[in-house]
Amino acid sequence: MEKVIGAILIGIFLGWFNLCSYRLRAVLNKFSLLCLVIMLLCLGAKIGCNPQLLDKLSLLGRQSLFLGFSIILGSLAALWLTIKFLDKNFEEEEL
Amino acid sequence: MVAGLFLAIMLGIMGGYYFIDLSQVELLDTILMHALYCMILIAGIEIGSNRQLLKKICTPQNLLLALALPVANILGSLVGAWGSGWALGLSFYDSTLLALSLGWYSLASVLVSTSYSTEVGTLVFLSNMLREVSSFVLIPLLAKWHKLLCIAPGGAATMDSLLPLVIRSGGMHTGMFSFVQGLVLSLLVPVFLSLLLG
Repeated sequence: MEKVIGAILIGIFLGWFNLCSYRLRAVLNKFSLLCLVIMLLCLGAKIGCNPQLLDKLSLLGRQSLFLGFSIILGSLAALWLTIKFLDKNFEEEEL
Repeated sequence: MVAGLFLAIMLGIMGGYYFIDLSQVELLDTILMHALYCMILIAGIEIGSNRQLLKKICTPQNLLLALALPVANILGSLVGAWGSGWALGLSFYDSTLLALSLGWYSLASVLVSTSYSTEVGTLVFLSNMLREVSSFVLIPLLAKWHKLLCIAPGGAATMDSLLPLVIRSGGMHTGMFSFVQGLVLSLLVPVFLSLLLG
């Protein structure tokens, strides 16, 4: 887990001091998409090779739907309260 | 994009079903973690490269709100996940993992799946993926009601994939708050998951 935090900190350092050119960043973004696809393929394979998990997949899908929308509703309510108390004039603001 | 990601996971499931057995899961975990490190490094570079945008929002009048929004997002996500997790019979720990993934499905699902449970990792992936997908529909609708509120559903994705839509729907002012919220949440997700997963 420390490697994950280390990787993001090294990345921020490289980006902050402009150690990666714009062209390199564009290439890295494409590479990042490739990494995501590889991760999803492996994640799918982990699900596919586990018969017990495959049996539960439709149940997990329904649970995810409920969980996902509950999390969105919770975030909406919390942000609405925050904005109401901290930023009453937001609509009139111009940057 | 979303269709492509679903296609990748479906192909993975089919590949896993026909060609891979449970003894090879360790190899899959190794590949997953190395792909994840590369992706996290690149995400870090993107965060660091946006320092000019950060300087613009770091004014005293904006700073309090900019920091309060991600905190509210975290608390709201926790309350939502705890409530629905309780209704579904999930443990408090699993609900907390789901909430503190904060929409970063690629990172969270891999970490949870490799360090804790593939079943909960699948839940994390699906619920957080749903959070991002539904944000594409909700952002323009919410922006009509209140511009700043449109950054609520997105979570960590409000600094990258959802940012162009936020700017188009809520304007540049909202876009800056959206970026800071996504940045703070993206920095916190690895920390939260490290603490939770040990």
